[in-house]
Amino acid sequence: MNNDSSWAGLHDSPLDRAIDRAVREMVQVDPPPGLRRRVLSRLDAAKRPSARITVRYAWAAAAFVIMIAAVMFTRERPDAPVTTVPVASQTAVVPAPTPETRRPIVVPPPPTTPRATASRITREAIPMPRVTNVFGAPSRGVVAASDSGVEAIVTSPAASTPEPPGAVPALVIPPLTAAPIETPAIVIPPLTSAAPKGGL
Amino acid sequence: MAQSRDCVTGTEPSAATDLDLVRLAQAGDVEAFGELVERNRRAVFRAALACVGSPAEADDVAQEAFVTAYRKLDTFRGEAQFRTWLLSITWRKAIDRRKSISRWLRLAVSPGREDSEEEAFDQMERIPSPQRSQEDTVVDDELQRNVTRLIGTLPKKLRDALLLAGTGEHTYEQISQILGAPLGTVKWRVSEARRVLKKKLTALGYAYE
Repeated sequence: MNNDSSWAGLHDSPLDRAIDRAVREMVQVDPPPGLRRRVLSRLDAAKRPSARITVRYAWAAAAFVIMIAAVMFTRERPDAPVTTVPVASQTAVVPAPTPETRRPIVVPPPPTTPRATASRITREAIPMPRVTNVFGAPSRGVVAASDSGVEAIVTSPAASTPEPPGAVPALVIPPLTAAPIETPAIVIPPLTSAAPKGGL
Repeated sequence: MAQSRDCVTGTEPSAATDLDLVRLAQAGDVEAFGELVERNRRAVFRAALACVGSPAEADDVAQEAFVTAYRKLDTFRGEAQFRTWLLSITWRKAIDRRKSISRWLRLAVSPGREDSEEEAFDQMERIPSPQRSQEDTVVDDELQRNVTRLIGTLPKKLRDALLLAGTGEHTYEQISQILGAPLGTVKWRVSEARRVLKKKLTALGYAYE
């Protein structure tokens, strides 16, 4: 086991002996007493937390399963019948080209079905309408003019419906106007052929 | 003496071999593993000390190595000696510890220097050997300090081979298996380490002969 015979004894110079001695002092050290006891206590300590961790994992897994089951149970409840709610058509705003006539005509959307009167917290499942088409029916198209001189052209079946209270006024964006740039004419006096006085 | 009882396998009062104790430990006998700890503690501690350089760190590494060996005991098939298998685990643990120590020292002591790992080894705590003889006490202390310092500056491969061979606990075959290097390479590294040390000592003015 020990290779001291090949390690020391073959090196006879003072430097060899110094090297041997230095190496011995560095590594031929006995371990502190009680290593066996410390190792066994670490093994024992390593066993005990593992049991506790297993119990914790079991509790966590049980809680997770209960949570998943609760979610599955609530999702499997039958939904209420889906009712389609008519969607309001968009409004078109066409301002007049001049400030005097720039009065937008806002066509409010038709009144929708009345919402719940009060927002109170309830445990009952509230069936929500399923949104089918947010842009309205194709027949309710929006026609807008982009040229000057057109005050407002809005065709909508719901144009005559009154504006519901609390409706947000439509955003009015004035169109860009193209005006010619007028620059004053540059007048250049004609050149004369008279020689300057006192010339050559 | 407890120290003489537990250092070498052949001097154990128990007649059970290491393999017998391993089989018992694999069956759940913790006391059998404790006996294996007792038999191999010095070899494990010195191998760790050769790597990390600090007795306190080596003791911690030795504990970790034994705990890891106990957990991996089922993977030991008996093809190699238990001590060699255990020393391989120890060496890997010690290498990891040495890297973390070197990284810490590099940050704490000299963050800008590249060669701090060798100096870190040299700065580690040392315990003087209790086996120091009367002859050793009359040796020039300055030479000893220089040799110790120069060992710390050796390349790691040379230093590891030199210190493992100097523990007196490991054969060259075991060192070869611990380091994962051929036997001839290990012997060359030890010889080369000595040659480099003597060359540096000669450059410092010490007589070669």
